[in-house]
Amino acid sequence: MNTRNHVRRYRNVILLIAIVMSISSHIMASILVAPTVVFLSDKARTQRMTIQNPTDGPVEVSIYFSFGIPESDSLGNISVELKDDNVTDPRSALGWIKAFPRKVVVPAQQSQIIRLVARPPENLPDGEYWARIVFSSQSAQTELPPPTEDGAITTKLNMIMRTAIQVKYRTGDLVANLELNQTGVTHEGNKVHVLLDMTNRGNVSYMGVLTCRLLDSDGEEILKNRSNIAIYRDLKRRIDFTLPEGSKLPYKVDVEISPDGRTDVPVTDMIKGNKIKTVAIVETQ
Amino acid sequence: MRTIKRTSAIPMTCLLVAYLVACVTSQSFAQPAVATRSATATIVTPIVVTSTTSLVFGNVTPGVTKTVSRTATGIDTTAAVFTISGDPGAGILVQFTLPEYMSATSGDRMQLLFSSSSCTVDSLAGTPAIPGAGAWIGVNPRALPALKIGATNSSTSIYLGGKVIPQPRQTAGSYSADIVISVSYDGT
Repeated sequence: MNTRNHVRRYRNVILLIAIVMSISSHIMASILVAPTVVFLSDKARTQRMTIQNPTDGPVEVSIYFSFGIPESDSLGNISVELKDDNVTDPRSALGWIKAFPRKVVVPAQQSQIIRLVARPPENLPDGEYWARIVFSSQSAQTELPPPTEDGAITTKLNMIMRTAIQVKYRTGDLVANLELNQTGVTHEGNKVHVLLDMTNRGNVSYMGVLTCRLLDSDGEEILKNRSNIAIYRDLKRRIDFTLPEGSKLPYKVDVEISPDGRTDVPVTDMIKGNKIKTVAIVETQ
Repeated sequence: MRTIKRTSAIPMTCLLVAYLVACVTSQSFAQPAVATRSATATIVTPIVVTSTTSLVFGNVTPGVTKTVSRTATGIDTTAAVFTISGDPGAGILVQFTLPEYMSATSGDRMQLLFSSSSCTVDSLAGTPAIPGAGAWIGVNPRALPALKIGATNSSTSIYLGGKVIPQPRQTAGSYSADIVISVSYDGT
């Protein structure tokens, strides 16, 4: 990681906090949760997180665990469904990772440390196990407005914010290996859609960076998309490009999936997998 | 992980920034004459979900349906505004859990509707009334697409309207319900 990246990251964090602080007088409820992903292992079974209340009032925060990994439909739309119970996934860490405390009122402008402890079952097969720690918050003052006149109806909607952070527990020999099954590219009007069909063949989630470059017939780049990805099992992922007016006709897409370039995950926590490069020709509809 | 000594002279935000220097790895390189130590820090921008404005219907009259548009910014009626801040360009997955009714303490219920176009997703710091250029307008709140944190101001806002349908004999009183927004990073 170079110095420029560090400066940019620091700037982003400070800018974000400045934004939140500057609008805090208007905020009804908000919490700031860090880090964005938590790693535990058979060698480090405890970890800690920080929640901060940047607002001018107290915020009540409930902490619990759910299970949810990114899943996709046939069109490449991705979603995460959080399940709190009846989880039968063999990779679920639900039930044996705990957080303390589980409920807290964070005073205005204060922060709170949350501790995580993993107590995995014995003889857990090698690999990675997943859960999401959910921070649910709402303003601590939620009084219902009284009706203002006889026969009147008043209403109040409580806004509840849930931030779900992925927790990964690792044990034994770990392998990250991704397979790109198919790449489709369609062009319709000023839209180009790229659909990638991927399968995780490792025993950990594949974390990396997906880069798609849309090129014209001369090899000149028209547009580029770069996203951090985490593949847990099978996943179809769609990338949409909107062609700028007057751009040349798209001819092909260069796709690269690499475990390098993640600036949001400590190097020591990356299980580096394989690198994939492919080229797909654009099919015009 | 660094140990942070807490002093009252240091603002909480500074402490948090210091904490966010979350993982420090270092490597030592033994050289014949000189030992050099280099440290690499990963600065992770935290994720922040904020409700800046609640969905407000104001006073409701029995038998009269009241709609609050996703563009409403009035005094009596306002659209809900949620802001998600974090790493610019980072992918996020957002899911709403929306109520079908509002309930009174007496147990009476009043119907609440969210249409398949009652949402706006704005990554360019607009307002419900005037979303930023390129905002997705009329999005289904129950099937939000994968989103990205806006690169311009490190945030993306979601505006949500709704409709309340009191019956003609709806009991007077105060009704409430919960709107839940769940946010997770896409790339982790």
